[in-house]
Amino acid sequence: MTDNQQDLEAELASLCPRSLSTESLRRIDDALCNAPQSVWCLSPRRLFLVAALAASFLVGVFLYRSLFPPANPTPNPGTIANTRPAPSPIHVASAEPFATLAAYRQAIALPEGAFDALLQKQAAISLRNKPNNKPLRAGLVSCPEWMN
Amino acid sequence: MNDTNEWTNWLTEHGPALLLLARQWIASFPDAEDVVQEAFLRFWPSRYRADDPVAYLYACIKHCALEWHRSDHRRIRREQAAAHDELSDGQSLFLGQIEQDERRIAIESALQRLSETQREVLVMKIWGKLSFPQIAQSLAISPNTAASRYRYALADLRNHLAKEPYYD
Repeated sequence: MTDNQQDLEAELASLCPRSLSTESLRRIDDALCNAPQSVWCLSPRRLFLVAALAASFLVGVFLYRSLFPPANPTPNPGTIANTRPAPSPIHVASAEPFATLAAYRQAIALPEGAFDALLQKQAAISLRNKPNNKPLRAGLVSCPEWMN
Repeated sequence: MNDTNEWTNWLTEHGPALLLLARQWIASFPDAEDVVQEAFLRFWPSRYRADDPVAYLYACIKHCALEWHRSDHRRIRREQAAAHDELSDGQSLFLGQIEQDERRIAIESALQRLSETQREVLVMKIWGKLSFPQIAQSLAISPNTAASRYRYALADLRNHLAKEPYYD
């Protein structure tokens, strides 16, 4: 760089550009002070503080639940398991064998004669589908021996 | 308030150079102030996202000045202001004492004759005190291009000033 260039640079740098007026500075001050603070406008330090607070809250909740678990967890009505339809009385009744036919009828709360009709219908279906007279389909109705 | 001090420091350090840069496109002093104000308000919330906030601020000034220059609804005001500039003497780019007025007017005149690309690099380098990499980042050019534009700007300025009758 030549001396002429340096002299010219120094001469240019000695000139002071006009600065912003106080009115303009006041308007900037008003705009910055009244600007809504969005979470995305936070400084990195503030964002870090917010993230640390959120993380400590989550850790606290996790520790509390692991130290003091609920005694009888109540089922959440929104879960998938509880949205299933209730099992039919026949499925419920077939879980354990009954001592007498009357007890079985009482357990499944079927009207008099309805269970016999159902059994006959099932037997007819079973015979039609399986002519070798196999037992009724497993899982639908498991008949105790006294029913045969 | 800490935030107030922060932006005040920014404007104290860069305000005059920003205003001078804005006036490369906008002749009127009040309009240039409006542009600087708008650019600074855009820059301030997003300053942390920039790699180099200073370079980003100067880029914001250029963007807002060009946006202002393109807007149609301000064209009439600009023409009126340009007509008014010829009558008023408060629109000079630099502050100066009376004994330096001739020199200052000569330099301002020579600056106006430079090309826009040379002038913006010169303003950023001399009055903004930006480095060539910062200027390059602000103008989206290479640092070598910024340096060569600066050298050509100084050479052209010296030639223009040599032709001025009151430049020794």
